Amino acid sequence: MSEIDEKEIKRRFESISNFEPSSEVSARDLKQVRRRLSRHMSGQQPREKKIWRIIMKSRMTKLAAAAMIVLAVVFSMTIFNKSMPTAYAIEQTIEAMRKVNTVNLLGTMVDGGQLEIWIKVNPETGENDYIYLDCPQLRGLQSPNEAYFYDKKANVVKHLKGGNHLRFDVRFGRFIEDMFDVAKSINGEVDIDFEYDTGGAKQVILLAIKLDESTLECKVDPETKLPMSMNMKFNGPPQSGQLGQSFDEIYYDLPLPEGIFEFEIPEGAEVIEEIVEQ
Amino acid sequence: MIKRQKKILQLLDTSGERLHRLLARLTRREDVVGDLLQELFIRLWNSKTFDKAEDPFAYAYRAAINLAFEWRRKQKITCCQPLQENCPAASDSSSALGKMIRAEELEQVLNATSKLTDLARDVVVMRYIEQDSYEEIAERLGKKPQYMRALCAKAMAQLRELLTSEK
Repeated sequence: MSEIDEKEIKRRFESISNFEPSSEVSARDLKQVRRRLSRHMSGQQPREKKIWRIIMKSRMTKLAAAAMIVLAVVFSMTIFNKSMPTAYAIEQTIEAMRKVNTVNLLGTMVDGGQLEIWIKVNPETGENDYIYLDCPQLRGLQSPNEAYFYDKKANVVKHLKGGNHLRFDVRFGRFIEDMFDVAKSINGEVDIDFEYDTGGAKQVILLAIKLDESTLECKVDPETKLPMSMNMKFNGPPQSGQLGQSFDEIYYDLPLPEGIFEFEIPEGAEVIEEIVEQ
Repeated sequence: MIKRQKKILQLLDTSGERLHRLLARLTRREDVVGDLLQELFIRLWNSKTFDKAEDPFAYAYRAAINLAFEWRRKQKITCCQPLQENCPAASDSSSALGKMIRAEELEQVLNATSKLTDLARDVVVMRYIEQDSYEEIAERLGKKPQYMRALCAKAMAQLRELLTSEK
């Protein structure tokens, strides 16, 4: 029987200590753990994946090929389902949304890429004061007075000073109100109904706004009165320039990841400074 | 509750990378580290003793070592037929066989480490894998550096015995 000496054991330990997980794996795992942990701690469980869609607007189109178009549609509201199982007051959702401070949206891009958005809502105005967006093509950060857009492929950062450059068509803090404001100025319909959500295994409130070419569906949690998802269904192919994100999960008031709204210029990236007149 | 959430998330932000690396080294599997790290933080979240820990990182560090060796124990251990010592391919570390043997040797030493007492195992991991000084280890574990040094020497003798008997 041959002996293994201390030197050999130390050599083996040294080989183990030389093992370093790749930075990509490490970053991915940490991000995922944070996300899942936040949900676990707030008692929110991920729902079954569904195809949620929303259109966003941005002025980042010059930098990134993927443009986001405005949801320039306005509806008039018609609540035609009179036989709802229980009374649902839209004011309850409006009220619940006013208390939201942060929103975390997880989705899938048209091309299959993953999308993550964090929003810090201004409780006074309902505006999305800070927005962090990350998808395979780009990373964006919007604060009240400036924005950064990083084109990952070109390794170019555009730093825009002044104004809002990345914004949603609706304010998440006033989502329902904005939807109905939109509804007032176009001849559309809003249906309010109930639907059984298999992912959450419960009955949910379904708001649907119908347009000629698309339908925007919003599911509302009857307990929290907060929208669980928004789904833009198109009758035809997505419009030009539309990212066509599909949000799989929406979470509210999760603790914000540390430094999420601080933009760090990636190493070697070209930085383009621009001042934008409002 | 919010304070506790912040404490755990802060720990993830400040020490997550180090804990991730530790788990990767002890499992030698990049594909399982994410799940283990998640399990670790969920355990911390559910742990009442974590709240009382004076040094949250030290607590998490030991919990990570424990979790990694727990994972190792659950893995199906396959026994390999020892090679003849004069096999030329075995000594060639660049050959496929040589690489497999080197990998197997690392597994052996980790499996032997898992047979030590919890304290000795933690000290060995901190000293030889994480390359912490005896002073750092002692501070983390609330012991004296001399004791850590003595424990390490004793653990090394045990490892030598365990590995020799396996051969």
